Amino acid sequence: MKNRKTLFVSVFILLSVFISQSSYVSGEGPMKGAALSAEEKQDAGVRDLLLKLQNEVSDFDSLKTDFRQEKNLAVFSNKIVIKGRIYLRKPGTVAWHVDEPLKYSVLITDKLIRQWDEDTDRVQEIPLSTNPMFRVVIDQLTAWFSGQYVQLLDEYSVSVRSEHPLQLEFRPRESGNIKKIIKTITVTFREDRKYLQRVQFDEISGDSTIIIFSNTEFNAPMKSSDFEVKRRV
Amino acid sequence: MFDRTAGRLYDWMAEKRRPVLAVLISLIFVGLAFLYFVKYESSMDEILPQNETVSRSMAFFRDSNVAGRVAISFGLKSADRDVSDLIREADLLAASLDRNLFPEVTSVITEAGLGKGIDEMLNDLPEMVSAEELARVDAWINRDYVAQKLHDAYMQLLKPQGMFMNSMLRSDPLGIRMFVLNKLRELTASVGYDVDIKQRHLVSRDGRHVLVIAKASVPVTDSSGSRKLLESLNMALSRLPEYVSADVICGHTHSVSNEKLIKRDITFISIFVSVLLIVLYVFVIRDFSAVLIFLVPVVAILFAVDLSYLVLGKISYWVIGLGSTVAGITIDYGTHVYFAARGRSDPAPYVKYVIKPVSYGAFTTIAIFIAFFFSGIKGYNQLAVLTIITVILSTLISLFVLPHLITKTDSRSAFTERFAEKVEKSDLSSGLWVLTWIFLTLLFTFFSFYVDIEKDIRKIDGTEKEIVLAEKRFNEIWGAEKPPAVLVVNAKDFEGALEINEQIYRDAVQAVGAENISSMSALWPSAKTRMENRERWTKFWTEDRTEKLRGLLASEGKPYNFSENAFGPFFDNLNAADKEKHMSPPHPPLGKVGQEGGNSVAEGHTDASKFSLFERFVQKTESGYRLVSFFADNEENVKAMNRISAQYPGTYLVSASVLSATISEVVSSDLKLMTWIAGVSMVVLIYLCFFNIRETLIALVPPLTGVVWLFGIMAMLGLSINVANMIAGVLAIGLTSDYGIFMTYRSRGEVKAGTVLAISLCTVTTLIGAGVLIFAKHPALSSVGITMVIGVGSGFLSSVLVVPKLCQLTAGVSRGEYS
Repeated sequence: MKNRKTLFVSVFILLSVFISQSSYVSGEGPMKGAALSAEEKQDAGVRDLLLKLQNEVSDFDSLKTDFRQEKNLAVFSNKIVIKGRIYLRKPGTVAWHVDEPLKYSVLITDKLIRQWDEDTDRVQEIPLSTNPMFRVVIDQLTAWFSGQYVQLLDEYSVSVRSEHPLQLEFRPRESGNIKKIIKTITVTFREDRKYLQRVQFDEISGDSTIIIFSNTEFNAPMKSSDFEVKRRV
Repeated sequence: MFDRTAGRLYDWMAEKRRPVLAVLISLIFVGLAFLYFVKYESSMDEILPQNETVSRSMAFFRDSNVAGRVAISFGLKSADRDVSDLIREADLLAASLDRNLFPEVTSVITEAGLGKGIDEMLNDLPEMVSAEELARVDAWINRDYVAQKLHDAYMQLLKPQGMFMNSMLRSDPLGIRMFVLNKLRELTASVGYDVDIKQRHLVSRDGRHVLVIAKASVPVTDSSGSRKLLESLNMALSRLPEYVSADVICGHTHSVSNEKLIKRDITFISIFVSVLLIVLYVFVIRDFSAVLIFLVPVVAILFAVDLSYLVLGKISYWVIGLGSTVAGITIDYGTHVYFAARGRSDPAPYVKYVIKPVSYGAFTTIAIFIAFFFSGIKGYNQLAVLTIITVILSTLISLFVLPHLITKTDSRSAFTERFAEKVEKSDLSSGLWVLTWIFLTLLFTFFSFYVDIEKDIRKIDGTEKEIVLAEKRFNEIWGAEKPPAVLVVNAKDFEGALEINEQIYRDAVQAVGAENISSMSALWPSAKTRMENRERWTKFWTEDRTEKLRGLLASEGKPYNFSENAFGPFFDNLNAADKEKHMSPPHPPLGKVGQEGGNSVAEGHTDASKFSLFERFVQKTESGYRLVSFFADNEENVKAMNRISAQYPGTYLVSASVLSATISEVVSSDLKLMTWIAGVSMVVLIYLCFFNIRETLIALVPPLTGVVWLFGIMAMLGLSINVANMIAGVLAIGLTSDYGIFMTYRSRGEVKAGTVLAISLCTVTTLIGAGVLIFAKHPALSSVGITMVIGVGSGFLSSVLVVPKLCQLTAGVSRGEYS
């Protein structure tokens, strides 16, 4: 291969932007230490619980649900209420259709966001690769909606607030950037624990957002139009 | 005088045969034992010219943060598994690596480090916004723009991707931070690297590969250390489950691969050639003592390696590889002596007769290698030392030891005698051959002007196919295409370097465009500039302008129900910046590189908080700081950046294309210089041998034929001259000049010494040795083989087919008279 000698050198030049953020040194890392502290034991218990929930909640290939989103944001003088439907198809495709206060649709895949709104009546595509901030938010939402709770343990510490209904509180860990924005995320499960009933995001700024799910159906037949982003009548 | 002295030495050695032999055998054992202590090198540096550009480029690669890194690209082989499985396995492997060999292993990416850097820049916004950007902000403060901005913000906040963006909107309603964020995006996008961060890991865009990067404690140039490191890594990788593949990308694989290939080639060639030569000598010559001819260069190279190591303090594998080939050609001296001495009841007069041509043959070879001392390539100097010692020892052993060990003729060797006589008498040289030679030489002279010099040293890099394929896969998965060129700024202090870097960046934007250069100055100005920016920012936000914006935001925000204090944080920040009369103390961004004396990698820090977003742009050196900027490595950019660099002392370019061009230039000028020195020395020595211009010119026919035909045939076959086969070309000249001397000397017809058979046998042995090299896996050795075969083959043909006829035509010396 041409240029192969310097290729590996250049690859490292290119890579260096990403490196050194966190390193396992002298035995640190996933295998660190043999004895478990009390906190680690608690984490292990929560991990088991999340794993169990994840197995139950994520036991579907597709899902559709109605939702009501309430935003209490200091930037607005009133509470914003958004109503619509969410369609989810594994792996990683989420369609978010809103009917109130104005119609818009957003299709989220692992590569891009495609959106339409009645205000502009235009379909717009935004690659996630060029929008790291969107990516973070979308990854979070996708994880919550599709039941990938265990992976969230890297970023959040989790505690059980109530057993019936099961209510978990996710608090961002010190090391994550999310800590600067999110204070807690409280997740309430349905009685049958098969899906979410309510998610509440409380921000450091005092703002909060609540999403309440209803009429949730698993593996229900879906039309291709459910994942289309275009003008709706 | 020469003959008399050499004759006396020969007689003395004949008298002291036993003690000389005893000393020689003892020395062989000492030499063998000493080999154990010789340290070998496999670095490519030795075959690179000692030119400022080359040395600087190589030093840059060695000292840069990227050297000594090992990247492991994990892939999913099974469709049933997902990236979470792969991340788990990558983490387990990262944790299992030997910390003595891999002191730092990065698999988890905490956003904290990256975010911290961005936060610092966003918090220091007044210091980050330039005059041009501030002018754009000024243009935004109008009703239409503010109305549109608030409408977009409202829409954004309603959508899922707008969650958590409310705080950002409140503190920056105009989107001034986007100046910084866009530059940050451009900076990361400009490297052409295709990566995603999922579950805090570096994941490929296809979601099926995960990247782990480790720092190696072993330098790339340490071949035995590299071998241990790769063995340890491969051991860890062997424990990966079936569904995970792993590609290792690092310089160590190249070092180990090159060494392995050269060693394998040398072992194969040595065994193959040794067996073939022994078979040839024993069965063609049918005399067991002929094996001694073969042993002469073996003993010579043994001593030469030891002595060269003592003289030089180091010796590289490829020098030994090429030196062994040179040693192989010294078998010629023993062959000539053997054919002169064998079958004689008193070999002394015959051996004494060949002392002169053999010695002058050796002198010409030595003279050619003396020319190597004038080369700028360090490895050539090493090669010169090794070969000169080998040639001297081979000649001495061949002339003064070998004749006393050759057994007398017996019935079994009658075949060789007859064969030698037949060859001597056969009328090989003719006018037709001379005409054919003239025609072909003219033809090849024409083509020789078209022979290329290989610019790309990677063409002679013996990296194994698997490694190349792994790098190709890596390239495809992670999207790194052509390596960028680098502009390097060196300064004693960080701020000094930053100021120069900033000026260069400004010039570069004008010259090649902002999209073609990736520099930390695009994002992080020097302290001086930041101070100016802050002062400008403070002056810009006058009470009138601030109130105008406040009013616009309030009136245009009403339709969307933005609250009265919706953008309070923005105005609070303005007031805070206004009150802060003095700029925060100058510091390098993110990792406090300048203040704390080094970046995290350079000093082995592992604290995530010390990570610098600009790590790849900043290096701590022994004498200060080095800042680097990257740009696309093409002729246009390199020229433009070179012009800029010339204006700033202490700055320079590192570019693969410049490196190749420089190597080509230096090799080409080296070749010219060495050819002149070797050519003049050869002519002088040949003249000293004959003291006759006619014979000197005829003796020069084979080496000249070798050169012209070699270049002509290489050009016709599309082959090019490189740093390795250049030596082989010179070697071929040395050999063929020996043929010229022997055949011209033979034309004097004073003593019958079996010259034609000796030369033929020498050529056959050389062609066997060189011919086998053609099949070597290492491209450098293979190119040496091709060059030797063409050069020596053509020189031999001219010496046997043309030289005798030329002697005859010019002096009337007939073959009959000779016989």
